[in-house]
Amino acid sequence: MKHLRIFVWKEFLHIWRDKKTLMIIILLPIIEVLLFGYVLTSDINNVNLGVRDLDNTTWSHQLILKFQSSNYFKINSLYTAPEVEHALQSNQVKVVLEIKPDAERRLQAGETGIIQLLLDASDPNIARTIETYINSITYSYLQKDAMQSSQINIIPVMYYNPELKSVFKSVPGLMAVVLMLICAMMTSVSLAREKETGSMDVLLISPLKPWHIVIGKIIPYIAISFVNILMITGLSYFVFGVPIRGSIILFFLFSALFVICALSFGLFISTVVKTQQIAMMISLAGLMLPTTLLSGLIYPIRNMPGWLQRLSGIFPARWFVEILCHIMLKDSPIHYYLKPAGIILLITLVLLIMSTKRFKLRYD
Amino acid sequence: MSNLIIETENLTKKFGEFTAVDAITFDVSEGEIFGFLGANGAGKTTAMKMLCGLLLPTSGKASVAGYDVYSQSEKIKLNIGYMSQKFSLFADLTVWENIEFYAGIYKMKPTLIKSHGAKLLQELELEKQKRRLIGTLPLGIRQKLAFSIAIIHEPRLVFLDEPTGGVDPITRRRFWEMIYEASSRGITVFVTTHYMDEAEYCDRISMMVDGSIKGLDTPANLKAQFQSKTMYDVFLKLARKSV
Amino acid sequence: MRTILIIIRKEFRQIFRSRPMLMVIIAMPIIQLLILSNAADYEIKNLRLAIEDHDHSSTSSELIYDFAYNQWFDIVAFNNDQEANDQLLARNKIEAIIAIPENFEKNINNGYPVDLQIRLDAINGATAQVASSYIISIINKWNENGSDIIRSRFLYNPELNYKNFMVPGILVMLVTVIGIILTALNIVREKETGTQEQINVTPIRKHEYILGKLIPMIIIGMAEFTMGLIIALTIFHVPLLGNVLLLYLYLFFYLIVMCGIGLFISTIAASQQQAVFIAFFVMMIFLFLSGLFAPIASMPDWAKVLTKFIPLSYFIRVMRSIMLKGSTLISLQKELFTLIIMAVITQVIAILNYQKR
Repeated sequence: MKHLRIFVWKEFLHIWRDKKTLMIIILLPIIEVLLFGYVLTSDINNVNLGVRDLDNTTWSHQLILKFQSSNYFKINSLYTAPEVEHALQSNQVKVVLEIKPDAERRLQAGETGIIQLLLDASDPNIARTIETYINSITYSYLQKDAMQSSQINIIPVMYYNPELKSVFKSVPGLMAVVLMLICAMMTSVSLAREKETGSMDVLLISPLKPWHIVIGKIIPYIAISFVNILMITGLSYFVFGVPIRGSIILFFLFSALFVICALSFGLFISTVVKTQQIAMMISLAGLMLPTTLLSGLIYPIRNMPGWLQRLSGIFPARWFVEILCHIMLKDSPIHYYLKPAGIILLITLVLLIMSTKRFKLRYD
Repeated sequence: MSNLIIETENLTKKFGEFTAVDAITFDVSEGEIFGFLGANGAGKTTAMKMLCGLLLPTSGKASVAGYDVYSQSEKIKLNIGYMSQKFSLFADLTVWENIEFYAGIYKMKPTLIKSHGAKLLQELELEKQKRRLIGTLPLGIRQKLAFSIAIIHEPRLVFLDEPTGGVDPITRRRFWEMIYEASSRGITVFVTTHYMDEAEYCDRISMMVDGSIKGLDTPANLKAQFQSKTMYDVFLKLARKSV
Repeated sequence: MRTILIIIRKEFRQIFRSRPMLMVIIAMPIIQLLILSNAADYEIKNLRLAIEDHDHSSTSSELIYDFAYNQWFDIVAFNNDQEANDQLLARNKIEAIIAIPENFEKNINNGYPVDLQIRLDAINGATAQVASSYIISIINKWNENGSDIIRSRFLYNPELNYKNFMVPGILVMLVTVIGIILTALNIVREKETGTQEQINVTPIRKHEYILGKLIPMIIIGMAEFTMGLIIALTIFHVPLLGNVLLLYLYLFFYLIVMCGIGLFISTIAASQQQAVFIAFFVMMIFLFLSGLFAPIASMPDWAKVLTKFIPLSYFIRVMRSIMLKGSTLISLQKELFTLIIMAVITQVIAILNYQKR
C-alpha cells in the first residue's frame, strides 16, 4: 500500500509540473459551459429576413412592422427576383417573404398563397424553426383582424425545463464529453509516454505490481476530474440556474463511476499503441466526434437508425448523460437509472481486465 | 603554418544571470583533431552550439571556416558536418533513406549521392542492410553510420557532440579509428567528450571548467605541465584549482 | 527548392511507413464519416405518445384516430392515469402526453374555446419544440385551421434532408482535426526526440523546413477531403451543384490556416502531451462556434461576432453553399477574402514564433 501511495504522489507531481496542460484541463470546462449555455440554442435571434413587398399598402407595411419589432428578425428590403436569388445564394438572408400585390382583397376573397416564403433549407432545422416563427407571427396578425379564429388552445407543458433553456440538455452532455475526452487523453498519454521513454521498465522492475501501476495512474486523474465536475456544475448552477434536483451524493457517486470508466478507456488505448503520438491521435481524433455526436448531447439517440443506437451503447458517455438527466433534472427514483449505471460498470470492468491482460502480455 | 579553421575571441554566452561560457579564446587549425573536454555542465555543449550557428553568442567574436558566427551562420552550416549526442538519424527511415536525406540537404548532386552512398555502405559493411530501419540497428552501428553521414558531403570541419556516449570501450576505439581516417583525409574534427581517456587520441585539447578554458595544449604537454600520467589526473588537478 | 522536395519526401516516407498512423489518417476519418453522418438528425421519426382521453366522445376519438394512423406517431399508452403517464415520460418510454379534457366534444360543437394539454420532456428544448410543433400541426389540420395563406418553399434542400446539412460539416471537421493535430504533433515530436537539433545545424533554411512540413500536411488534408467527398456524393447522395474546383480553392486556403494553427501550437507546446491538449482546447471552441451543430443564426450577437474569427465557420458555410446551393465565386467572395487573410496571418504569426536558434 505504501508503494502505491508513493507512486500516486509521483503522478501528482508530474501533473502539477505541467502547468500548461493543467491550465487547459481546468480552463476548458469553464469555457465550454459558458459557450454551451449562451451559444447553443435553437431559438432564432436577429435572423436576416428578406422582404419583397409587392403589395405596398398599409396592410402589408403593418405586417412587416410586426416582424421588425420582434427580436427575431432583421429586415432586408428586396425588390427584384434576381436580387432575391442573389441574397439567398450569398447567405445575406436566410429567408425571403414575398407579399403578393392586392393582398388584403385577395385574403377576403379567400385566395390562398398570398404570402410566399422562400426558406434556405440547407440547414433544415433552422428553416423549420424560422417557418414556425413566421407562421405564428403572421397568423396572430391575421387573427387581430378576426379573419381566423382558432378554437383549440393548445397548451404545451414543458417538464423539467419550463423555460426551454438549451443549457439544461447541454450540461449533462457537456460533462460527459469533456470528462470522457480529458480522462481518456490524459491516461493514454501518460502510459504511452512511460513506455516510450523507457521508464516503464523501471516501474515494472520495482516492487509495484502491474495493477498497482494501473490504479496508481488513475487516482490522480480522478481527483482532477472531480475538480472539473465541481466547476462545471457550480458554473452552470450559478450562471445558468441548472439545478441538481436529486441527491448530491448519488450525483458524485455516479460521476465517479463514469470518470473511472473514461480513465479505463484511456488506459486501454495506451496498451494498444506503441507511441504517444498515436495514442493521442486516437484519443482525440478518434473519440471527440463520436463522443459528442453519439452521446445524446446534441442529437437525440431516439432519432438515429437502430444499428447506430446500438453502437452508441458502446460509448459510456451516452449512458452517463441519461443518468445525469435523471439525477440532475428529473429527480427520478434510483431504479430508473440503475440499468445505464450497470452498463457503465460493465464497460469499465471489461476495459480494465483487457488492459491488465495486455499489460502483462507485453512485458512478461 | 596551417590555416585556422576556427577562431574565437572572448566568446561568451549568458543565460540571464548565469554565465555558461565565459570569454573563451582559442583557435583550431585545419586538419587537427581538436578535443573539447570538460565535465558535464562545464559549458562545452553551449560553446559548440555557438560555433555551429545553433546559438547566438552574448558577446565576443568567433569565425568558423572563415565565416562569422553572427552574420554568416548559413554559410557555416553548409561547410560543416555535425553529429549530435543522440545521433539523430531518423529511426523510422531506412539506412539508405537517411543517406539520401542528409546528402541531399547538403546539396550533393544525385549521382554523387549514389556513388558516395554506395561507398559508405561498403566501408561500413552495411550493403545488405540498406533497407533496414535505423531503429532496428544496434547502437554501435548507428553511431558509426551517423558519423559517416555527417561527413558524406566532405565538409572541411565536423563537429561531434559526445559521440561515444553509451557504448563499450572497444566500440569506442573503433569509432576513433573512423575519426582518424577522416582526419587523414583533411577533415578537421572538433569533438566534445567527457571521457578523459579519449583526450589522448586528440592532437590538441582544451579543458573547460565552469565556463572557462583552463588548459589548452597537446595532451603530452598538459600531462607534463601538471605532472600527471593520465588526462584524467590533469582534469582533476585543473578542476580542483577552480574550486 | 530541391531541399524542400527532399524534406517532403522524407515526411511522406515516415508517414506511410507507420501503419497505425495510416489507419488514423485514412481509416478513422472514413469510418467516422460513414457512421456519424447517420447520427445527425433533429427530425423526429417516431414520436411515442400516451393519450389521456377524459372525454370519451366520438369527437375525441376522431382526433385520436388522426394520431393513431399517422406514421410519425406511435400510441404507446392509452389510459387516464396521469401519474403513470408522467412516469413513462420520466423513464424515456414516451416523448409526449396528450390530454384531452372533459366536455371536449360539447365545447367544440358549441363554439366554445377548448384547452388541450400536451406534456413533454423538455430537457432537450430543441426536440421538445419540434415534437410539440408536429403535434400542433396535426391538431390544427384536424381542426381545419390554418388554410394555405402562407405557402412555404424549402429551397436547396426541399426534402429537409438533414444529412445534406451535416455530412459536409462532419467532413470538414474531420479534416480539421487531422490537420491541426498531425501538424502540431509532428513538429513537436521532432523537438522531443532531438531530430530537430540535428536539422537546425544543417543548411536547411527556416522557410524550407516549414514548407517541407506543411506541404505534406496540406496534401494529406486534400486527399482526405477527396475521399470524404467521394463518400458524401456516392453514399450519402449529397448534391454538388456548384463547381468542384471552387471547393478545392477554398479548401486550399483553409488547410493553410489549419496547418498554420498546428504550427503555432507546436511552437508553444513543450511536449506532445501539451500539444494535444492545446489542440483539443482549440478544437472544442471551433466545434461549437462554427455553426456545425448550432446554427449561427441562433446565437446571441456577441457570439456571432466571435464566429467571425473562426475559420471553420467560413469554410463550412462555403461548403454548404457550393454543394447545396450552387453558389459561385461572386456570391462567396467575402469568404475567400477572409480565408486568405486568415491564412496569411496565421502563417506569419506561426513562422515568426518558430525559431531555429
